[in-house]
Amino acid sequence: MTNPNIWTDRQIISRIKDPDTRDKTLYALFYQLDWRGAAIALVRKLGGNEQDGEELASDALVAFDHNVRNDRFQGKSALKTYFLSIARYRWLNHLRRQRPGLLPLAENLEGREDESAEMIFLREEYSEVFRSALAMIGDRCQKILELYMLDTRMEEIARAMNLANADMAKKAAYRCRMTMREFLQAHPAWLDRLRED
Amino acid sequence: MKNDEQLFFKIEDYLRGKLPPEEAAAFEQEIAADPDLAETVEMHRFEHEGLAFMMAEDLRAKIRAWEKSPPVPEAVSSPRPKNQKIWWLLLLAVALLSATVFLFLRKSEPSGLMVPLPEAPLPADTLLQAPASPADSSPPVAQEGRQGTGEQPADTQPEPVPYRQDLIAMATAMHELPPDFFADNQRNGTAGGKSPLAPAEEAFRLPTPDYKKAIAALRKITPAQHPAWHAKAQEMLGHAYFGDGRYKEAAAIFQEMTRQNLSPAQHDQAEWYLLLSLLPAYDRHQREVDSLLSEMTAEGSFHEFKAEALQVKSKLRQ
Repeated sequence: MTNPNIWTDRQIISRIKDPDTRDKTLYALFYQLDWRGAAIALVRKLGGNEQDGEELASDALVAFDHNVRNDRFQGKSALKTYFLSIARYRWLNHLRRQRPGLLPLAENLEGREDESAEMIFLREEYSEVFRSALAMIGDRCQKILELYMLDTRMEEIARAMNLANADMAKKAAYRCRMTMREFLQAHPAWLDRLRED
Repeated sequence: MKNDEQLFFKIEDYLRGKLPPEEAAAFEQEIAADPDLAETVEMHRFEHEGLAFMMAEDLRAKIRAWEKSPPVPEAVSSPRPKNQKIWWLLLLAVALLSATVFLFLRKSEPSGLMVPLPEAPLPADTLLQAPASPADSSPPVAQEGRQGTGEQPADTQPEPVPYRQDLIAMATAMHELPPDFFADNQRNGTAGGKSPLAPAEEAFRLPTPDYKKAIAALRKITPAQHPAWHAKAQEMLGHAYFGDGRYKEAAAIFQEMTRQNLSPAQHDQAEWYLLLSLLPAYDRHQREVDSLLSEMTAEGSFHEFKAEALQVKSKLRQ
């Protein structure tokens, strides 16, 4: 099971969703199976350089991880193809933002299963707000919330964070989110977003 | 607080696709009909974006680190052996067997004085339990300094323990009834009538609450007759005792609550009221109060009443 060469796509998905094996699996895909190299080659083929490719490959892995964990991968292709579609979509999107109108995105590009451009924009627009909010809640809360978002069982969170039990872990996750919320609510950006909606 | 927490996790389950389809559909209808709820759900979505951002940053940092050193090889962090699970099951079986034997032996004792609620309301060195007759199914209350007083109704007994007036003032000032204290008590009683808690609730709602009346009404609610209401009645009784200045009885009830399998928020709430009930007799209960304060205010503690506990701590130091 630890030889990535024999993993099926289904196994990879399940390993990425399991907090215990997520990092090792992503590492194996990126380096051992050289998905990173494939993404760099793709970017170079599309006019980018090595450095563009390296940055894009990391971005694509981050998006791939997010999408797989959130069941956005619809199984229309092999996982590696999907990863490269994300890389391709993101690269084209990057070019399009640099030179609007020059490169219309293909509507049927599979990378569109990736987060919408709106979401990427939202996250970038509010990145400073999020950074501040996360800095305010502190490392411990960040770790608790990360484990929570990774669907780690509360018992495991309690063990990892040295909390008394699963109830305490659940409460900790709740309290951390409330602290984060207090910050976001106090920030005008949140109000702006509500008004837009 | 409990309701907030429940709603919080319901929204989380909804957004993360963990609600069953029918429940999710019903919840969507609720959201559509309730602008406040819709705004709360939007807030969750926005927070999720923040958390996705955090995870993306974290993974980027990991990817950079992997270029220098890969993550720990899998063999090192292999899953726990299956045998461990079997051992836990065996231990659980032994524990269950022991408990069964204990209960059987206890039932065989000739006294027959089984009392359904608090077996040890507070540490034995500080409080004594009231004698309970087999006919009296109301929970025993702590009886400090009342040894040998027989079975006179506790309601008519003055509290003989000398309390510090300044601490009574502080505890009273900090005591507020929980937000869901009166929730739905008037509804869903037997056969659709008023709930058995209604008389006590009316006594609480008077401009000057009649705690004695509330206590009398609440003590009638036994677990045998009103299993669904007993826990809530006990909570209300704790507050009625507190309002009536019978802090020791209040403490006994809140302490028992802290031992029950409550949600974290409810547990913290019970601890907070226990602390307030112990405060007036701080000189006698200093060890318990200090220990509670220490736990509630510990660094990294997420206690619901941490801020309030810090205030108490600070005032006690003055």
